[in-house]
Amino acid sequence: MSPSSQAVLTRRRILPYALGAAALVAVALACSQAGTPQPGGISGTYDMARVGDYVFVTSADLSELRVIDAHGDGGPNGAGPRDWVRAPNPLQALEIPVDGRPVGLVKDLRYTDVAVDDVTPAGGEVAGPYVYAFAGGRSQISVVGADPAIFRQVQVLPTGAPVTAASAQGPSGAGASSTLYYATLMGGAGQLWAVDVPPTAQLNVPEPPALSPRMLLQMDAGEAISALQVLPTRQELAVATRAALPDGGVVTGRTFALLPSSGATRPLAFGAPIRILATHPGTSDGRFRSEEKLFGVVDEDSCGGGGAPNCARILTVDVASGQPALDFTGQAALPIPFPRGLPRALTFMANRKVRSNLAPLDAGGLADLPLVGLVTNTDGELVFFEAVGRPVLGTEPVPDDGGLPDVAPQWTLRHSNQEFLPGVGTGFFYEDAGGAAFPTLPPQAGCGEDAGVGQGLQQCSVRTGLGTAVAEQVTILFEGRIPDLIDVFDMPMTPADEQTFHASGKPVSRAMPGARIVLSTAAGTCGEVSMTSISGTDLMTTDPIPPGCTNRTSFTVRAADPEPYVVLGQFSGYIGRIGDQASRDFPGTPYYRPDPVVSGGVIPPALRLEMGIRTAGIQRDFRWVFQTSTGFQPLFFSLSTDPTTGWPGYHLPYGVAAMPDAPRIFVSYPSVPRTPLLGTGAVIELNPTLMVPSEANVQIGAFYR
Amino acid sequence: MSSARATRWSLPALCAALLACQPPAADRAMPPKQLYFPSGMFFAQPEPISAPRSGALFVASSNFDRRYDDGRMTGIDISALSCSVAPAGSCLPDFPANVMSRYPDGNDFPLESLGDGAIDEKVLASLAGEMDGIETTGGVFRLLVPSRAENSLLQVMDATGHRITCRGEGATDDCSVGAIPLEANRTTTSGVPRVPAPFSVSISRPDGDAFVTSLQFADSPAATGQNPAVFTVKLNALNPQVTDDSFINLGNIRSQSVAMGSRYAFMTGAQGLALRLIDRQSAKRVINAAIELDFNLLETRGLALAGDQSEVFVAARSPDALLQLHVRGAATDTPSFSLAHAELLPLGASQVRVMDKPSGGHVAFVTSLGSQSFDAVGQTQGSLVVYDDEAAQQVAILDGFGLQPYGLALQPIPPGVRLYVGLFGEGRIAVVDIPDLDRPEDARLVARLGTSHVCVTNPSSRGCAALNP
Repeated sequence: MSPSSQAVLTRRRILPYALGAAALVAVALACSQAGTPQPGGISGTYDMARVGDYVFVTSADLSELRVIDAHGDGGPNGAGPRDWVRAPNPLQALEIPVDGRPVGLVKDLRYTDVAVDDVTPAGGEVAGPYVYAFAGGRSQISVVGADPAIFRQVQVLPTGAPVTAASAQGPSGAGASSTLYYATLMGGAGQLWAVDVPPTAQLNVPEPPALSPRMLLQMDAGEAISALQVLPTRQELAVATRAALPDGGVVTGRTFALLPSSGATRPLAFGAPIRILATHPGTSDGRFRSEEKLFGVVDEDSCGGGGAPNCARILTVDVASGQPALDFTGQAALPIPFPRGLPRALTFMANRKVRSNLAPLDAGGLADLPLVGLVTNTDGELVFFEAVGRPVLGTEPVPDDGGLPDVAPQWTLRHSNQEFLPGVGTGFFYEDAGGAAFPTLPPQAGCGEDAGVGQGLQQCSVRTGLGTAVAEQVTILFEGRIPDLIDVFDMPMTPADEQTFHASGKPVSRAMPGARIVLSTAAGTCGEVSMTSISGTDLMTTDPIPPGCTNRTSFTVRAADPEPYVVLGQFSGYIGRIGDQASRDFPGTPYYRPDPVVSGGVIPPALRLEMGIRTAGIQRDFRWVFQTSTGFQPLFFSLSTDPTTGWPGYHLPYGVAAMPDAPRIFVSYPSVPRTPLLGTGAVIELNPTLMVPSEANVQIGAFYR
Repeated sequence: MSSARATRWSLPALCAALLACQPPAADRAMPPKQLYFPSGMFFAQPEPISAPRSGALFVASSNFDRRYDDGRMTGIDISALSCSVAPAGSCLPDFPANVMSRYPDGNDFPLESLGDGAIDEKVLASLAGEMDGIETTGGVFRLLVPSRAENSLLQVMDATGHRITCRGEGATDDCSVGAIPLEANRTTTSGVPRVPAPFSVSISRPDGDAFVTSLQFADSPAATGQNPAVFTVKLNALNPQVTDDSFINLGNIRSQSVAMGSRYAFMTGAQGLALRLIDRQSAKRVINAAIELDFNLLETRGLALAGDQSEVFVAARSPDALLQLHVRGAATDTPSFSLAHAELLPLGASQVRVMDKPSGGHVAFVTSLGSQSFDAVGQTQGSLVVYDDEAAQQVAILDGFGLQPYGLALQPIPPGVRLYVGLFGEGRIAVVDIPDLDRPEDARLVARLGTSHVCVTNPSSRGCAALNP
């Protein structure tokens, strides 16, 4: 046998096996398609934009966009998974090359009052012809066709300076142009531009006309434009700016609505600098129209940063009046706070239900929220909040059949509470000044009418207020030092001045007559006196100054009778004072407005507690310590990143898009570890009616990589 | 130990072992005036700054693939690069230079074009990491360079102008001779304390306190994989001596880069201890800044501290991001942090430097390695990102100017700055000018120094073809 014929034979022998192996691979791929869309190799998945049935996502590290075909009837039996839009060669996912490294993505936005199709209900967003891709530090914007027939970059708009924000308004009708608004930063000052983008028939040609931007506004020196949001119904543009005072000064900003046709502006009273703006679709029942409210994510640089109390938050204004929006109580809506992290993306989902721990079983465990806000946060959570909810007032009529009352939707702005246990105190212990815990608590007398007389803190008395309480460690110190009145620098200039203690800028009202003022010299503590009065910013005593304290350098105030206990919170700081055989309500800052049927329409105290008689043997700095819970838990989704059972690397959600025709949310994760086949990006598909609320989830609809 | 953690530790250890076991080949000297996988960089400019053309640039070549016997420290006399003395077409224009007309090509020149007097070269142990320096007296700079090769050496040298003197006992042209071994305890019964794979060093000014980080844990006894602990070394750069008391146990999560504050050494690492502070007054006191609570990341890389310590800028990986953190009480017993801003970056976020703006605020510079492919083009080659914290925006991104931008050295020339960017993947230095830090968006590439080593390391790569069309 010749070598060549041997080779042919070898090939013939191998061929059936190769074909068999290929068939197995094909079958395996076909099977895996049912659960996992084919890999697209994306990397740098940041912003997302839904246009009709298509969801665009950046693949920034590859300078391209990818598109998910999110048709409701995608996948086997119409149950998904949906898939990447395929390239002309369907083995490959379609890649839309764009210039630069796109991180930001905006779409043409317009709303309709009448239902157009499945993904365009009344009040919904109307698909526009383009999406626009840009990135900080880049002086260009890519204009990309959003129609499946034109999924490609049709124009690159040079902007002359780095782009800081963009927003686009869809065409008012057939043959009309879209309008792209964008902001640039040049020499430390923002500039606002508008450019008309003609219909695809004019732009998707071999030699398209050049786009002609026009400047709308030139900001002051040091003032950058941080966010833009078109308000297409009103033909306005919301603009948020940021200015930082030199040398680490306070960050300020203003937000206003601009009518581009006239140049007129009017303020939007957020009351804080804003770095993300978003408006919303309407509900399909017509009760809440689109674009009624404008939401803003506060620039955390203005209030201490992520993790600072009451800093990261979402505010809302009424678009028509420009004033803070009023919620179902008729009061200005409370902010949506984020105790940790920085919100990254904000969008809305209308006419949908979400799984909720507090939803009645009769409702299938689903909360009916006419308008849900979706926020990705850098702490790893996708937060769902009520932008129109169904707060139970307690006045709803019960139907004749005895079923659940029909709770009407009400304008709200609040987290969706998921905690069913009331806020209490737990983990009580009592310890001495050195931190050594006593084996048992001082005698407890119980609570209620039949209660006896206990000593010190009565643990059953501790209650926290829903919507005001802080989850923290609370310490109650006997004759404790009063915060901010500790080691106050004070040197009397004259002998007459020795009985006056200067505490300018200090919270002197925390002290009360009888408090002990402990004096110190450079050598240390030298004695103490009793405070007798307060005058303005000064504390006074009539006690003689101890001989060793005539050259004092500082003083500290300690609590004393009649309220010798100082109540401190790990995060709240100074909470207040209390005396023996007293009960006290300590107010807090409201952050959540419960259903009136729960709260009775009043703001509960953050902490309520009761002290018995003085504990035998108690000494200065002996203390009770316990942990409070709040009865409050926001509704969020997060992915388990367990390396074996979860989704390792899926720890930072970024972009989010919701489908209007089905309970389907797409979330991008730019944090996924790179593999030889797959990039560092991923998109997951989430069904909000099937998720486990406010816990790390393992099950999701599908993932796209 | 979880399997993932075991894998995390074992892979670098395996790589290190394979590299360490390569048999030395004869005559593998690095060609003269060649930069090879530059890692550490430092710009020495005696105070007060006399002229923008003065100063010396020091570049540590890491010899990352160990093609050559050793690494190298190169000192470059910046004044010799000036177009007033160097040949036209092979010189560095005065600051601020014009934008290169044929970006990124147009003003590239090898170090060979410089006279021998403009360059000084000394031998380093391979796998040098991030270096730092401090001016001592009379314009002399003390330089510290850790290397991750055998014995985990900390090399000490002095520089007068660009001239380098090795300070190890018995050293002449090889600064690894007599260098401080940070793994001397490997052969003791306990095997600890020691710092395998030392990577980054930072020196406090003017007192000279310095800390060195470690990319690997030290097991005890050595080579058993048991009792893992990560140590850092604290020493004084002006009188560098290391004893067992110099080592500080940081727990079991590796450290990456370090930046010195007046009270604390700030150290990056990985999830769990992504940013920790070591109290310089009480070295056993380690504070976890817990930045993961506000930004869910996997690991952190370079960092930089603002001059007034009010801000710290940290480069994160997975996802690649620049985190700006407000720091309160950086010199007190109880420092606190809050995340002011998070900026998503191109792939491979690495080094960070920060400068004050004349009108207030800060400008941060970050390098990103890109896809780390030798076939990379455009932005996938890596980037230099310029971030303005007053606008809270990335205001400029330079990319496509070389493979794997990594090291950074800054030459302040008020009101602007000249940046030297080490192109790790191709062995060159890119020079970027920002004429006025109040307009940081005006960043421009003005030159590239050195000879690309892409055709040495990967002759068939697209990067080589681009150099030799």
